[in-house]
Amino acid sequence: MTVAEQTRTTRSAAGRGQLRSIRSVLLLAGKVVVAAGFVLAALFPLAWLVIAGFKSRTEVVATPFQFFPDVWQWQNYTHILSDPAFLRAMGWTMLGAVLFTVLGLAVNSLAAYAFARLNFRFKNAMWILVITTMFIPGMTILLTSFIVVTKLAMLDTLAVLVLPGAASAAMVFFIRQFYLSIPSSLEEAAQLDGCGRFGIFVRLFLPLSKPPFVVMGITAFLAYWNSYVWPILTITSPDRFVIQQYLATFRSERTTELGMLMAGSVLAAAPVVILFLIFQRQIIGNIKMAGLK
Amino acid sequence: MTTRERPAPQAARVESRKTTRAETGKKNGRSKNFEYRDNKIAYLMLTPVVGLLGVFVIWPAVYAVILSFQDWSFYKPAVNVGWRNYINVATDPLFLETITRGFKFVLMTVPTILVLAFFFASLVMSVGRKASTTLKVSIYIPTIISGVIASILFVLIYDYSGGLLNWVLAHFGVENIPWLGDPAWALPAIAVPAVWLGLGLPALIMVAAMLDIPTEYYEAASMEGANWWEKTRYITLPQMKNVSLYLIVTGFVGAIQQFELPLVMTQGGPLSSTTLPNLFIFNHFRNDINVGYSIAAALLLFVVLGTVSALIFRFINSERLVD
Amino acid sequence: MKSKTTRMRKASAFAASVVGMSMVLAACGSSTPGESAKTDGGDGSATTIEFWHRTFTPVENEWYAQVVKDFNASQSAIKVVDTEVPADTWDQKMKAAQAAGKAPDVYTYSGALVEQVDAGQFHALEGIVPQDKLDEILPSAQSISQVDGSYYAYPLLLEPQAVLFWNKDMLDAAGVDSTKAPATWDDLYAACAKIVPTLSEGQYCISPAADAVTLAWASAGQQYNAAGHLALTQDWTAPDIDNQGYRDIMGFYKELYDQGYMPKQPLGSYLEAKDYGEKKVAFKVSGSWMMSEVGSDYSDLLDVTGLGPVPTSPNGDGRTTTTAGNFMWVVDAKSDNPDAAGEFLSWVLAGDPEVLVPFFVDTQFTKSPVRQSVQDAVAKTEAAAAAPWSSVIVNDIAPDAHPGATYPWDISLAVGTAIESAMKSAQSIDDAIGTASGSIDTIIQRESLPEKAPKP
Repeated sequence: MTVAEQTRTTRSAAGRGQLRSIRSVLLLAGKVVVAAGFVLAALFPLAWLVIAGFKSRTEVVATPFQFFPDVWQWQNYTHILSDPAFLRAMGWTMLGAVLFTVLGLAVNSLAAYAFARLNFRFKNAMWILVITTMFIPGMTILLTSFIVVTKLAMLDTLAVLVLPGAASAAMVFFIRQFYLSIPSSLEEAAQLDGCGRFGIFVRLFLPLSKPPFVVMGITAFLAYWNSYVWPILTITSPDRFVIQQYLATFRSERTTELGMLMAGSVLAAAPVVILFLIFQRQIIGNIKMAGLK
Repeated sequence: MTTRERPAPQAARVESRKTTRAETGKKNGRSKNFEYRDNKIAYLMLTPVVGLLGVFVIWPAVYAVILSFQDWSFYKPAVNVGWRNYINVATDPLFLETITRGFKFVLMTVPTILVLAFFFASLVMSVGRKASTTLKVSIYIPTIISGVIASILFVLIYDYSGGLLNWVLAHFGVENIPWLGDPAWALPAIAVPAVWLGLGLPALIMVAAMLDIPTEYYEAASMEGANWWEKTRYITLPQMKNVSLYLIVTGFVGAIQQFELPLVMTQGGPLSSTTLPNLFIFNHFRNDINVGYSIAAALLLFVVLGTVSALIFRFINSERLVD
Repeated sequence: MKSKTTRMRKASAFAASVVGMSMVLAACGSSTPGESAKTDGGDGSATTIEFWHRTFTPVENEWYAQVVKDFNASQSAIKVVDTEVPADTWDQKMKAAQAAGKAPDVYTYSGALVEQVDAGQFHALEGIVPQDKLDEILPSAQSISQVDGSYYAYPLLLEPQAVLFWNKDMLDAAGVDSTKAPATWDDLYAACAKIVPTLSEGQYCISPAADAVTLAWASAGQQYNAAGHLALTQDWTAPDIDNQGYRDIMGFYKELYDQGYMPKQPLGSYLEAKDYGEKKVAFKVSGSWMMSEVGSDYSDLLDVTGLGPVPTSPNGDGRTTTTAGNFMWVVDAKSDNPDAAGEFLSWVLAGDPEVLVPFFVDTQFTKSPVRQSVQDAVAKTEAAAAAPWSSVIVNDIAPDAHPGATYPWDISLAVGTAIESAMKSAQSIDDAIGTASGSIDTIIQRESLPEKAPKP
């Protein structure tokens, strides 16, 4: 990336003629403006959310509108943090998200390894079966999945949030691609050392799996953390609500507490934003590799 | 639920080069040792994934097809009704309207995202390393915000008499606009957060694709005195065709299925102006006494979706052949 | 905390067993989480009855909890388990329970019964509730709880769903008579014309029902007022909205909208006092229940709040402008113990009037009982005298309230959509009526409505 960029920057800097400096200044100014536009458009709504989290209940949509609160209401944050239902929803979602991520990585990497390295009967048929599931849109099976989990008596449990999405063809695909790139000579050496197939997976492949695991793990965590539609169908007891459900219910039931709602939204978004900022290099760097996430 | 379908088709296509390599590798392995010596361990390792997909994806898909031919209300035994549910859906003007509305929503969001993503990527290519990192991180942050939080946020921004947007517009002498109250404004008003949430990934994919274009092309063009626009027109755009195709198809599939935003922001109103296809189906599922109608509608939507994706693919692909 | 860890352990054990490759079996084996057992584990003899009610106002929720407690204490053969379900999860939760064949034995219900009875969801009350208790239901509440002459629901209350509230201070400031409600639409327009110039930015003259879904039910009384009937012909064979009455009502909402008397985007829900309580509107249309919210959440407004009937159409001929909303209790058709369910229902709703009195007192006399004996007992309480609005609700508004539509919801919604559409000029009034007639015809065909029409 840097090579290309440098080449181009150098090129524009080392332009030609007298107009050079004026043009490059103009160009730079233009770039700064456009860049600022993008950054502002992306981040300004969030900044406003954070500010609104400090407003009193009537200031958030007051007429006339005011951008900053009169008094910065820290108590919005302390109130929401002392709401047991909020803390329960955060904790519950965190627990589910971790289980979902771990379980997803475990089952999908096993399958990925099998598809990447093992020879077995019906391999092609099973591969096609797994890949086909990527193309079934969620809504088509939302309703019948719901009936299925109802029959399995999974409603209102953590299992109904964790299990149905844990196996993911996309994740199998992604991890398999990575495993295919591991040289088989390593494996042969391990085999000579007396490792079985499973042993090779555990001792050789798992330790090497960090890059795809980080990307896929965060993708799974985010998906779980932000999910709303499946939980509102399957989780109906308020004491088991996930965080998105808590926020939506708070909004429709406590219509006057807007400042607290804003504060709650900020806190609910915080974990994933922090997670992203920590791993942003891996995530962004892998966007190409993943073909998406 | 959502994890499963979203990332799916993308991976397949962008990764196609690697897949070819994979296929070769696999064939080598097989010719070396044709007997299936790993049967037992392989099946053990596959069971969790195949089992979970079987119970939570494959069986529900089959079950959906079965139920779509029945009237079932949970209280009386299911009755086979043949194609009646499909006929009811296909002749329901409200369903057809939601499909049209879905396409409108696609037209509002997908081209906007593509154009913005393209300019963003061009910008990133022309700035230094630090700036490009800042830009990339910033543009991606909205992507990780949930639809629910984005909805809460934008509903307040759109508030009629106390919202940020009308306040800003008032400085330019614009009277208060009922963004979510006027059927003419509501769908565009929902498209904005959809673009906000959806821009990050396509933008970064475009950046990655631009980095893939060999710099020699540009150097050669510069020597011939080509300006930015000419370089974009004759080098960048043609080189980005595959990526654009992929982004259009995934953008279309994602946009037409959007329903979290209208569900939380407007519940489909005013006057159904934001009832996108999936919200229509979801509402029917919640309110109908029989489950057949909503499932038939979901399957019909799937058919529409598949057909249109295939058409887009074919259309752009054939153009490529002409090139 | 403790239950959480147990649940977590259960869940991870669950997950582990899936990895252990016996998923379907595991899923079936550990089928208990989240499902409450039907029989009481403690002492073997008692029959357990599941009861669900929606989350209402705090005082109502307390009453529900109390009656369940009292009933359980009054006898030992039946044990009722009470679950309070938040309003916006009710539909999903009920759907889930029905799909699993585990709907609660008794639950609260509101609205038309026809489709549900047709689908076999409710247990007929004859046979599980004594006939003399059913005969006590006042005529005004009979039609809403019966299908084809059989009772499928026992009503708890009737409450006017459309009442006009106004802020006397704001009316006085504009020189509008604040002692009584504007009688007709023209009076309301005149009042608004005077009020608007006195308002500051962000304030409006009136906040009525404003979206298709709310209009679908909340305007039914006004439809009856303006047209003399609701949206279907008597025999349910055709829509009956292509007439002057329905044109008038659409014109009424369009006028409020076009003149800017109402906000072009709702400032709060029809069900809640929020916009009125924050003094953003001078008039507010809502159900009678809003008075109890004003009393509890905006008590500074209690003394300056006037209430009366919603203004009538100039062609209203003295007909009511409101429907009588209702909450009823139903017994699920798949209940394992319909007799016990009936016994619980009778004890609370059809037994000693004193069980019900606190409900009507604590909800500030904004609702009306459906049995004469209960009405009398409520009127005798001391608190009744201290709630002046109760006489307006009970004497002026409630008695002739229309029982509401008995046809399927989709038809009401088609009408609500037409009104909103005309109001916002998305369609001309004629086109809106045309579209609605078309959708209603489709529904009549699809649901074979003529066969389901109430027998005259």
